[in-house]
Amino acid sequence: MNRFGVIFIVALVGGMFVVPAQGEVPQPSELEIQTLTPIDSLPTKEELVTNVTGPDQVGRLEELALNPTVDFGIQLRAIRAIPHFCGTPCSGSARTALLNLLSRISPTDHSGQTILRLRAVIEALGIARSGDPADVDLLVPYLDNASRDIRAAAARGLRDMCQSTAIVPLRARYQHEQVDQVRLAISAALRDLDQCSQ
Amino acid sequence: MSHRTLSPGPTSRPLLIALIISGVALGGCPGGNGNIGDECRSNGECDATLQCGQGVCVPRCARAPECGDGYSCDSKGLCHLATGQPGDVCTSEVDCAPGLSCQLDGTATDAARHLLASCAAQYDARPAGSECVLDADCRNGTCALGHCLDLCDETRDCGSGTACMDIPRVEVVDTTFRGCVQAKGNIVWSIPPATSNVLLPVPSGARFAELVLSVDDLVQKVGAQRLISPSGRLLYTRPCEIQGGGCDPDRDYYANLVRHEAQLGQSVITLPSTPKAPLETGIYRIQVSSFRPNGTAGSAIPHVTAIVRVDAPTVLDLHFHFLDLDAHPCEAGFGGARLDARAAQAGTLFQNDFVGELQTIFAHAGIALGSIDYVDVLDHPDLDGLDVADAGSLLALGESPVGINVFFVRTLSPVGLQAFGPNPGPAGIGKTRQSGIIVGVDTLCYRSWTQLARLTAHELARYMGLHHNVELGTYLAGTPPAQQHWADNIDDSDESSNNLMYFSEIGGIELSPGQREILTRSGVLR
Repeated sequence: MNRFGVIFIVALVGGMFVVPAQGEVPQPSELEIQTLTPIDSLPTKEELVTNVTGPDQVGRLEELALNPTVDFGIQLRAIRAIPHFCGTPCSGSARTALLNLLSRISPTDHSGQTILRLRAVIEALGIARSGDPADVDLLVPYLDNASRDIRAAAARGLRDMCQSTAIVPLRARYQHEQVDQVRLAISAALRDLDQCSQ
Repeated sequence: MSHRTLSPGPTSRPLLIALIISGVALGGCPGGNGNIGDECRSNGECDATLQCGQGVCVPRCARAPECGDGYSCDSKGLCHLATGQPGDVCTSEVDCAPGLSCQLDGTATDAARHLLASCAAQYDARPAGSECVLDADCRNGTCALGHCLDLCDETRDCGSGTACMDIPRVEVVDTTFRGCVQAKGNIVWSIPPATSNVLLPVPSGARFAELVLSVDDLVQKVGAQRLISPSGRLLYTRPCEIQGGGCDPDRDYYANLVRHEAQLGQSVITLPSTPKAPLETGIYRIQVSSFRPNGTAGSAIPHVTAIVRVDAPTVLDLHFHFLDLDAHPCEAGFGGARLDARAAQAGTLFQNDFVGELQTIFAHAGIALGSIDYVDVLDHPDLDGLDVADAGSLLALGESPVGINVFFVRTLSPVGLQAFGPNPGPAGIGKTRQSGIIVGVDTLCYRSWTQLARLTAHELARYMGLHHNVELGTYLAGTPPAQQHWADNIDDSDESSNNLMYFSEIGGIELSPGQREILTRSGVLR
């Protein structure tokens, strides 16, 4: 048996992957599993282009990210990989995919995995840096999220978007933010946004 | 030979030792009935395990310093007073009379390129074992490996905790002398930044050597240009910078026998990096430099710290640091409670599934987990949710020079990274921007503690000098043949996903003999 077969069996035995029922979205290929499971690095665009089933890599990544039968670690990395396919500024299918992923997250679900998924989308939207003010408007509400990790991620995402329209809501949140981790993330964002606006 | 049998002469050793030893007498074969403290006139009057010193039976010696300054200790455990006078040829500190030391004669050597030495007055300077830069910093006139040391013929001539070894002399090309070297733990010293060509002396018996290169300007990279072994083998050449025109940085990187990469602020070179290039006795020549991020020469002056290890330890100490993990979204994975230093020490999941699995994994390499300490890090909220770009700020909090610091953070960004650390990391030095590894606890939202232990062990092993047994790049469709073996430099570690060093989190815990060899030589062990 080749190494890919071993990997897949290990994954199945470990309960990490579920064999799909017929007609469902195809499970990740062996190359996709390898590309979306490194421990201490993230895949490069070249690795994604080559190993993620094409020709529509963004569509495939979105598909993997939304498929609940796919291993959750792969879903997360698939979300985070989408900005690789953005243009400058980010537009088109990559941005659309991220917005779709965000819209599919239930605001009433506060489970750990949902928070982690939300953080991945916020982070991806931030580095996508679309330049569209609507993206800032999408992230601002998360500055008031119940999770400190989401609030910190939103501050970073707004920083990465580099749009000065984020300054006012960040300042407003800073006034009543109680958690030092988030206050520091907001301060850092405001500092960097000041550079963006110059 | 410049020894005589009896001398009550003064010594610089503690009074008790001086009193006991200064009267050592030889005469007849030992084998009398005298016990410790009984009067005697010769060794023969004392029990076979004792000798006659200062007119009383005293224990025999194991090391010359037990006898006092200017004495040797022979193979029977008997002390002898040295008679070497200024100018007399010597090969060991124990050849020279009290108040004198055996000092190297400049560049003079014998036919085998061993440096010659003679007895000379001691300096009013630091004792053996002290840190030094120049020979004149040392009472006995020899500074090597950043420390004052005594010349010797055999380990019996050396103080407790040191061993007699061949040491390459940095100041005189292609020569060696025998000196007493710290036998346990890391020997750490700074090499003055006088030149970009660094000489790293590796004594006989050394199992591990390392250079830690750093620059104060954190926006500049620091690293090696070239690394040549004592036998002249080229172990490393800095990869070219920009792909194209015959340049392939990845090809160059993987072609090197020693894996090393210039990095912002600090980088590490570990030897041996592969069983294919065993550690050699002699002087390694390393050309070091700072670089701008674009690869051009930098302006920062590299600081160089050297580490050499001669013993073969097998114990790995871990220092667990917990950032503020309060109200963590993956708290269910902690057993529903806040994870901190106290909870980790008492928690069944942490102890059994995480620490227990780490113990199992490292046992495969013949390494036992030693002391584990637990510390809360609650005064750095800016690092609770860590962007990997800030990893240096967190790792600099790793104070422990022995073992490895492990930092548990709330979240690790970019999302998807589960652990992060230097490859290799600095052994024997704490408080640097690479002094530890980082584990994102957010992984526990979708993985078990046992799985977290495997990826933590993977990162610990990278810190200790192992590399991925195979890289993701190897699997790119259409990968040219030259790149199809982007793997470690260890012949017996295959590309199996069962290996601990498999790049993916879906991997095993196996280690090949070659990998175990590199791991057990790591300077992080105790």
